[in-house]
Amino acid sequence: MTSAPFDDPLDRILMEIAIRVQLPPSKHDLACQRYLAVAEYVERNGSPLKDKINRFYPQGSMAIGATIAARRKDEEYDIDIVAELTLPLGSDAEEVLDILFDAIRGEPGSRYYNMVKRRTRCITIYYADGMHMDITPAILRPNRLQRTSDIFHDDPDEKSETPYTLLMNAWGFIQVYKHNTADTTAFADAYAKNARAFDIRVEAETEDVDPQEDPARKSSDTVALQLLKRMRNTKYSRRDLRMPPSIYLSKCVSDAAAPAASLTDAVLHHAKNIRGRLVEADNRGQLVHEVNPTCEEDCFTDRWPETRADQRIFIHDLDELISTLTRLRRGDHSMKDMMDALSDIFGAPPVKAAVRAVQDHVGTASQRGQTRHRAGGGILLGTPSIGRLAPTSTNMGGKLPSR
Amino acid sequence: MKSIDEQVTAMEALYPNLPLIARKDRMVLWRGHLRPYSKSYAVEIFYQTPLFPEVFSIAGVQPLVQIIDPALERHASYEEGPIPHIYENGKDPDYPFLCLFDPDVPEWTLDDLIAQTTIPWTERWLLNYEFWLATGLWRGGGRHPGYADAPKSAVRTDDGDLKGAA
Repeated sequence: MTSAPFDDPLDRILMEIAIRVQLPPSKHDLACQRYLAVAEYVERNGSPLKDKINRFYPQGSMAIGATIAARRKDEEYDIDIVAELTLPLGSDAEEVLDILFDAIRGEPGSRYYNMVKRRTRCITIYYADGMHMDITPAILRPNRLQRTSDIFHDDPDEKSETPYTLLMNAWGFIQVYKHNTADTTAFADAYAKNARAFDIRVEAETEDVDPQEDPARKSSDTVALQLLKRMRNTKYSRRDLRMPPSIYLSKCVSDAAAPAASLTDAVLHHAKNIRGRLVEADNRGQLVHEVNPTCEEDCFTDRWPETRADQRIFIHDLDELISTLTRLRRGDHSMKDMMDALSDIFGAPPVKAAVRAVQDHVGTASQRGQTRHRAGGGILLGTPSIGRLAPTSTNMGGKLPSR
Repeated sequence: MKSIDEQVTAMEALYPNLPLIARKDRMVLWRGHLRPYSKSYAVEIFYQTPLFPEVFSIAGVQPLVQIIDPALERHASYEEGPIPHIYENGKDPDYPFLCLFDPDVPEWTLDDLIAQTTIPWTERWLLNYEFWLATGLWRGGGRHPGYADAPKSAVRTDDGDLKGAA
């Protein structure tokens, strides 16, 4: 008998965690509106980049639908955008970053004036609702694979450091990732339905949301990637260390993509794959090394790991994740045991909220007589296609009457 | 009214993990394990068909379900605590009877199979109980009627044998 997506409560709790830590579909739409507004703004009359913008496009997690709340705080999201400029090749890194900063900041009193910060490789716009938009200036490299570009490094706080350019092709990797993780299975449909339902509840009071808009639909690989990133964020929030970059995790997930009906299966699959890569490098006495498959100069591990100790810390985190999920799936555990164990990995707030959401689902199904039951025992929570229904019943209480 | 034979046959077919461990005249006792999700519970179900159905209330002749292991936890500060939706067991307070349906409707009658009602309802109750332990909130629904008299009869002896109703 084939189970429907999220029949299993552990799968369902993981799904509810992922929904709660991810960028909600409505905020994805808002982020798109915002970066398009920035693009239009920097093209305004009087802007130092008037007629020098080729296009803005999302990169990184935003582009592959794997954005989750920032490491620092829930409800904060980092959105990565590339600003493709038509400045001359070989432009000075400091000048490129400064001109984009000036173009976005504008005059005192203007739209973004008090919201922007010039950073080492990008300009960040801080929105009042916690969204941060990192806009990375780039200049196309001719005679290279489509959208291969120079980006620029200049630390405004380290003027002794020589500015430099790096080659990247964020867009190329996104195409590879999307191709490898495309998922047309029932998983993506079921996930989208639940993500939209949650989004409506969260946003209904503040924003006019179109629930039919994707990007709610995600593959099991991408949802697993979101959960791996959440685990990483939770673990590293207690450490003063650089954490494994999202782009490295994305590359590993892309390489090992395999649509799964079970979210627990998907998380375990990718956690084991990443662990295997790290252990293999470590056993050779080396640091793991991954590059962009569409631009080999674009190294995804140039800033992490710096030492073998760095990669061993993350191997240990993955070991804990794998052993916990394996134990929870196999063992004899109450919901309280599961909640406590998952809180250690993903943080208490989204796990408690996820358990409450599944509780509401179970409670409603119980009251409506919609729980489905396996022969020999076991309740199924997913699509009502398998298992036996039982009649509606009303829990009572008190004392038994005389017989 | 479903006979004891019919009840036993249905239980064997749907819940072989809840074997019949005692049978005497109109009384049966099943004991085994139910696993609504991950955690496994040792469960006992006692049932006695009435000799004269017309003179008994449904509440008085209903199947009696007890969770034997692990014993149910009591949390007075939780919603609907110390344990939601049970009949207290005056003889053995650690092992109350689950209160799974409204006998006034009645949602269960002597024509119903225990395997198709009482057992899935027990699974529902247990899963909602697990969430209650995790969150302190009861979301399984239900209501609380006025209390009636304490049970007087149709109980098990300590050695698992069956004793007739008063």
